[in-house]
Amino acid sequence: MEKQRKLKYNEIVTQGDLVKVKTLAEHEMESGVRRDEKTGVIYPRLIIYKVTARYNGKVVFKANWFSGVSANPYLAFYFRADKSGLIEIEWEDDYSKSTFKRGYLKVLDKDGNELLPVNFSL
Amino acid sequence: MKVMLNRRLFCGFILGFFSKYYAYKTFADGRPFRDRFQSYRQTFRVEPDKEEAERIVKNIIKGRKVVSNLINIEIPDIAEDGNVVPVKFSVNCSMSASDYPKRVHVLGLENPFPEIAIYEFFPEGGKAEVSFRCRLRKSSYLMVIADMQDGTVGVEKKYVDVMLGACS
Repeated sequence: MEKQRKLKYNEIVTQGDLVKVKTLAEHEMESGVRRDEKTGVIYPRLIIYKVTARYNGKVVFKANWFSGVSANPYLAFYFRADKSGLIEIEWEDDYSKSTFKRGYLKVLDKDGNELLPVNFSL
Repeated sequence: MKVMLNRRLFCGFILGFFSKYYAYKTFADGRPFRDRFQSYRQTFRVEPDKEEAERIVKNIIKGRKVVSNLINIEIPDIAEDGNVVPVKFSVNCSMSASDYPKRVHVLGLENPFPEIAIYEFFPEGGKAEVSFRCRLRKSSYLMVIADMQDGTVGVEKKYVDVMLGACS
């Protein structure tokens, strides 16, 4: 079954505002310290060790995690957006298996026009 | 005496050069990347080690200047479940290109593996504030170390009472 990845933020902001991004990943985060009660065998470590946030392809925030992060890790951070664009969160597993979640952020100027990431004239 | 650079000597030099690098990576005491070897080491040591934690902290600070009142941390004084301890920290700085935290380390000083998380910030970030949840083995200090762009370090720690310890 697919594990859930959640990404939440204000989808429409005005220019210069801080954007709070809240993420949640469904993951056991096996810390590698627990033992099986009967056999005494240690469960191997399996955690999300890296979370990368990109905005329009540029890295905005990065988290390196170790075994001390709780199961189903929640993470909230901020960034500032000048132009509208693509938010991209990548969770990377111990086996380098990565999962993505993407979203579009709309940035408006004072008049209510959208500031597009690409400048072109028709 | 004439010293010839023969094949044996040449290979020896190269091996010596790389062995230093290899030793630095393998016998890393207190450096965070030792975590790469965690899954092998843990079969021998699962108990918390205070000296290891101190060594890690020393290795992060590296004798640099410590600035006070740089970090605010919000953690409950008493955490009911050690598996889920909500942590929120923010760094007082203008996120300009010369004044931002490059890295923020979060350490649980009495966890079997004290390093909990390393957060990397960039000047585009706008605000250095993060909230997440961590595990704590028992009631102990939780330490946040901010590694600033201009070479200064901010350290803040808080004692957290854990009612039910996590097996982390």
